[in-house]
Amino acid sequence: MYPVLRDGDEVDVDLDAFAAAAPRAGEIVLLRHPFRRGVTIVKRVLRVEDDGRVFVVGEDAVGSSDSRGFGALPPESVIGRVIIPPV
Amino acid sequence: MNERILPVAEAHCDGPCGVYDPASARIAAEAAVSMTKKINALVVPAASDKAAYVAYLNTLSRYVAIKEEQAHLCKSELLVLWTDYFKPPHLEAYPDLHDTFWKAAKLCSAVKVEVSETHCAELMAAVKRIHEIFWATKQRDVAWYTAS
Repeated sequence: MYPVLRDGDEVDVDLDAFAAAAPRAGEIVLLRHPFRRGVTIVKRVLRVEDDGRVFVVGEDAVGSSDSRGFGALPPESVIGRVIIPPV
Repeated sequence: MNERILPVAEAHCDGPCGVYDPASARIAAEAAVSMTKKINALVVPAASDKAAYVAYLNTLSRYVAIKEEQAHLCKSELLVLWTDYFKPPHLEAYPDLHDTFWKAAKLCSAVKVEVSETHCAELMAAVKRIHEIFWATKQRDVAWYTAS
C-alpha cells in the first residue's frame, strides 16, 4: 500500500465497520489472504461485485499482489476498515 | 469496540521464497574475476608445438566460457535483487539505487567483453556497494568478505 502505508506502520482497524453495510469502493480494508494461511493483507476496494465479492488492489500497482491476480474475494474475507492515521 | 493486538498484516507480497543475499552475486563476480586472472596468467605456447597449442586453446576456451557464464550469473543475481528485493521505500533512502544497479550490470558485460582486471576491480567494488546497501536496508551488520 506504498506510499499510503509503509512497512512497520501501525494502524487502527474498525472491526465493526462492515457489520451492517458492505465495504464501498475506495475504502482501505484489512482482509484474510485467499490462500495463505494466517496472512492478513491491507488493500483498497476497487469495486464490489454484484454477488458481494470485493475486488481489491494495492496502491503500488506494479508491486502489488491483489485481486488482479487472485480474483475478487468473498465478503467473509474482510476483517475491518483500516483507519489511516492523518499525515 | 473489542481491543486486541492485531497480528502483522502484509501490505505487499514478497516473491515466493523471500530469501535474498547479495553473496550469490559476489561469488559469481569472484569467479569471473578469477577466470580473468587465470586467462592473463596463461603463456601462449609456440604454434609449432601442436599438442601444447591445442591444449592451450582448449584451456583458454574453457576459461573464457566460464568467465562469460559467471559474469552473466552475477548480472542475473544482481537483477533479481534489483527487481524483486528492493522496493520503493528503499529508493527514498538510496536515491542512486537504480544507477548503482545499472552500472553494476554494465560492469558484468564489460568483464565478459574484455579481459580486464580493471573492470574486474570495478565490478567487485560495485557488488560491495550493493552488499552495503542491502544489509543496511535489513538493519543488519554483515561484514563484507571475499572467498578468494
